[in-house]
Amino acid sequence: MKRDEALGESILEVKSLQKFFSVRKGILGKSAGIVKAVNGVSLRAERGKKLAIVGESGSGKTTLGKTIIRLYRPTGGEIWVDGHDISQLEGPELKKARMEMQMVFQDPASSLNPRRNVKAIISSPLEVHNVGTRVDRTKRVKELLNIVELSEDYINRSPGALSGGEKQRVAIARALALNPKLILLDEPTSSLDVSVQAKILTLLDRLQKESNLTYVLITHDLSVVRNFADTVCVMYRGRIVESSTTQEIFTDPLHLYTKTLLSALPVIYDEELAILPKPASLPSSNSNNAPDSEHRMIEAKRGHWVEV
Amino acid sequence: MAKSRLIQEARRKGDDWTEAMKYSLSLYRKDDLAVAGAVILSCLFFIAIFAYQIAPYPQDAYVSHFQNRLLPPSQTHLFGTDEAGRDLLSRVIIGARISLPMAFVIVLTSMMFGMPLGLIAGMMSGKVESVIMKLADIWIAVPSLVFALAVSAILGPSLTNSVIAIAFSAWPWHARFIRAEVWHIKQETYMEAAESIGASKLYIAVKEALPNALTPYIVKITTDLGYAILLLATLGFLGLGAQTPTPEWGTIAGEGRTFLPNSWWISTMPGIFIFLSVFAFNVVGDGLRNVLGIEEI
Amino acid sequence: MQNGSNDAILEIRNLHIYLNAYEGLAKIVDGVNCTVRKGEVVAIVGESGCGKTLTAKAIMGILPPQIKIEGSIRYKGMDLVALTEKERAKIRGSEIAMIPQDPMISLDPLLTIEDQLTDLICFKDMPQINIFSYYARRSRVEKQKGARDIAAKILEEVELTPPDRVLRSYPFQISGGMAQRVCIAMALQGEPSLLIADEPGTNLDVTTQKHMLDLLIARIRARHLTVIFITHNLAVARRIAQRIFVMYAGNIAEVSDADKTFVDPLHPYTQGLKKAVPTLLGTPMIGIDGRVPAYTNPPHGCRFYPRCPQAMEVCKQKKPELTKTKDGRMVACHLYN
Repeated sequence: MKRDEALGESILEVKSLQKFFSVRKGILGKSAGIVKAVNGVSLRAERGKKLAIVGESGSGKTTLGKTIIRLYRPTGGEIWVDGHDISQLEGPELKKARMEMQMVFQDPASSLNPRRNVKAIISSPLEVHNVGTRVDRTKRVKELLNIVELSEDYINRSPGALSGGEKQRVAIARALALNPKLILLDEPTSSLDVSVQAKILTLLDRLQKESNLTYVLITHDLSVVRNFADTVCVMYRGRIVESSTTQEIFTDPLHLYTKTLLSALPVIYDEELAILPKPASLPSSNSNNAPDSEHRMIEAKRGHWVEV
Repeated sequence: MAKSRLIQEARRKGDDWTEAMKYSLSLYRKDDLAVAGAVILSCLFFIAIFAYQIAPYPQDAYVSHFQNRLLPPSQTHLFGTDEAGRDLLSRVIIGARISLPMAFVIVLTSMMFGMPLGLIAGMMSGKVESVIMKLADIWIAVPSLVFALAVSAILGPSLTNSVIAIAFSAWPWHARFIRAEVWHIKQETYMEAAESIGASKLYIAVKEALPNALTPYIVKITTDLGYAILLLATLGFLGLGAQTPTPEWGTIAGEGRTFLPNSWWISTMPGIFIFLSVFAFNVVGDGLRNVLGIEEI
Repeated sequence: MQNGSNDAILEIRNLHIYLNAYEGLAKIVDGVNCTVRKGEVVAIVGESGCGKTLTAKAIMGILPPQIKIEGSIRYKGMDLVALTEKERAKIRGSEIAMIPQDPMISLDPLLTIEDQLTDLICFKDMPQINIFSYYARRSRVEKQKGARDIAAKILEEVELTPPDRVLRSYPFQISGGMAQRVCIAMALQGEPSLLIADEPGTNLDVTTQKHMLDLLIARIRARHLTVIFITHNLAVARRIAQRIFVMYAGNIAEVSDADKTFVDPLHPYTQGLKKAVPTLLGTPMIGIDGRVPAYTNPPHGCRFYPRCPQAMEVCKQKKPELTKTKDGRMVACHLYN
């Protein structure tokens, strides 16, 4: 699948990525089947922009994120980060590649080790990659705390004593420690209250502008996507079914699944209802076409790809 | 959930770790049984440390006075005397200096072998884990007492050998425990986060997993200490542990066996101390379990 | 959705909920006044820790003994707080029912759905029973009442058809959406007059949640239920409720009709929420500074004072009461006195 290279420098480019898990059953652990969590995904994230991957549970979006960050080894396909294919790297090369990309995880309560303090958590990437002396690291931690709008005396606190928003800020500080180019955010605000969510998203936006970061946001919340992302990929059952700019996806959704998602969104203002696709034109159940039939993406409009 | 959240709010100032410890302590103080256990343990430690100062006839640990044989408890000899005329109270007090430290030696040795193996098994999984766990399973299949008997038979009965026997029979339990904890911990997101940073398995094992495994582990160790005392005493009782005249509690009880039920005090007094120490360790362990591991503070 | 008749089915007056925390007394819910009319669907909207779930549990009477309640909760004229546990148990399930938040942890993993439903049906009036009476009564009453058929019918009502498969399953064998419907069925089977829904569907996908809400709305209409719907999702509240109670830090901040609450918010907190919510219209999201007060040492006056962009001196000293405004809304704020 070719993309128009003139669209801007891409920090992340995923080509036909696959991640399969084999299901084992029985005492002998015989393979009983394969779960194709990520089944041929291609996407690109432009430097300095926010890409959102939207899908419901079971769509494979979290697996996709974890495969991109190499928590899993891809079963097939390529992952190009800043010009290097990291899909098959191992050992010290992989470790070095990790410095370019970091992840902010979904549940801040469990992504921070409750038995370590904030200083240890934020400096752990520095420790792992042997950056600076202990004194240097403490300085950097204080710097990072300032960047995420937390006061320096948070340095000795325990995660258990922090509020959800504060925890997530610490997680963001940890992700920023190594100055990565790419940050993956797996549902970063799903467990936060709406007023805190707004602050975190504002913070992320500011950080991006200051450091020219690239974000890949994995979420199920379409309203957040509308307000935060530049480009969107809609994911269903391990495949991308539609991808385009945020504006396009919301004003002119083409794929049935995208329309289903949009029409299911509860909204506050009546004006929003006007934007949503009319539910009457959709089938009542959301089950879809045969999972393994041949699919390909076509460029229905300029920059707007749909699966057929 | 509401409660701990409120405590969070209240704990905004200062070092959270010390606040958490203070809170745990205050909870512990509310548990009467646990407090009783802690008091008993403190007394026992005190007795062990100052044994030679406290004991009325410290030399009686080893010196015999056959003229005073088998005297019942009285004002001069609060616990009576044994078959060699030695003051039983002094012997039991000095026995604390043997049983308690040896219990720690036993548990620490098992930890030294069991914990790393369990950690490796839990983190590495796959073949390495299988091998370690199967080894542990085989080792456990032999009951510790039988194992200790075998060791005594080979190396000869003595305090040192019984300590060695018990210590080396217990490591699989530690390995299993730590491995189970690590399995549980592996599901937490911070382990994934550490991996995504590029941390090696060793770093993750020691810096991320171990601190979380320690909390329930401490509870286990406390109970293990009690069990170690019991096992040591059992071997002493059977004549396979500390040998006469070493005043180990089990050995004293074993010596007194032939004089039951007439000179009942010889076996009973050390028996009471064994009971008290095992009880105290267990109860403290229970108290700790209820009180530690409070994360949201 | 029309309004219900004017008689109040639930009247909460001056509700206080206290808890002994490590650092002192935590006054979480601090004087809540709330009236729900028969046939109305109201939503209590608030962020985490504001006390909305505590209030719901206080109405149900399922708070643990270390949590203390003061004030009155009048259901059809009866003060629930003054009742004994036995009397309360009679009301629970058959008059007031609750749909819990997380269906997966609310269902007993060791019993089939059928067992759980038939137990509810057969033992409605006997909340406490020993094991012998349980088995003795069960075989007898089950046949008498045709409990299984009732269970099947209830499941059909929540659109789990055919019901046999679900009845035979254990909770881990059904999906989250189905489990939520089972919980709704369990709440409905007692034929309650008042239904309390505690954040149902928060853990579900958007499409599943939509179906569940459609179903819930249909059942509420069909049975003319009075509903208190607790949620932190403003859009869901807007969709399902006629009136919305906005709750902050243990107090009701504002009570308005659903279509006015976010279009024209009165209380500064509601205004802050409105600015923070992401919408499809592309409005920027602005959060609220500060954090929820510590309940062990709350501000003396208005609890929102430290974070309020329109705070006045009087707000610091005096706590605002919930008062009526000209157009029938209620707000607890000195800006409107």
